[in-house]
Amino acid sequence: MRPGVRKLVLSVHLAVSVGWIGAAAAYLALDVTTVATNDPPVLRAAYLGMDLILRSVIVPLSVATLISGIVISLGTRWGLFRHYWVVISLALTVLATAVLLFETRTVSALADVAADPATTPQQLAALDSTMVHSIGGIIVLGAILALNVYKPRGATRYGWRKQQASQRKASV
Amino acid sequence: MTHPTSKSKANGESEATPPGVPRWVKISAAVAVVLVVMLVVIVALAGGEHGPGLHTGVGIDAPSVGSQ
Repeated sequence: MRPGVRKLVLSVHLAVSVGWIGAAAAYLALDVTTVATNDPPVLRAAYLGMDLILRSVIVPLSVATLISGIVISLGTRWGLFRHYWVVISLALTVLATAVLLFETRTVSALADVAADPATTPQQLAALDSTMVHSIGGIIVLGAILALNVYKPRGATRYGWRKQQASQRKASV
Repeated sequence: MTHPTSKSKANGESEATPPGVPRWVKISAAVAVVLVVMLVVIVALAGGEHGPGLHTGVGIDAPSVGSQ
């Protein structure tokens, strides 16, 4: 990958991945609100906001993070399966994105109930929270961020074989 | 520990061996397993309503719209 293209893809990857964490924090604020209050208008607004943030911001950012991460890995010396930190980052990103995509159905259903004028304040207050996923998701995203910043050493067997092959080629 | 090592063969040649799994990977995996088990236990003790079924929206009670 040419340096200019690599920097462009890296910039996109940094923007969308850090944006994902910020959007997840905004979602968590609304999620905490659904647990902390019984005020019907606030609850309605919180569930509708969660649905909007999830579908319009978090899901696109997660998919963009996954795609740009794969592109930047394949286009640099790190590769996709050569180093443990890259493999684990990829696995955690795929897991987080998959859980997120399932989660959208739950949150959309919650928002539909919250938006229904027939929903009583008691039913609103009894709606589920998605706090386990919010907090778990932010912990996973933080772990991925740390892996990408520290890049702990450790080549996989595949990465080591590739390294050996390129060293042999260079010595010939 | 995480770097390729070399071992001498009987004829004096050295053969590189692939590196093992780094210690940080093993520790992280152990911590992740403990956290997942703890989460499963906590969710089970709290009523056990969490799982893939939750994501289908089946568990959400829609309010009765009433007859019009």
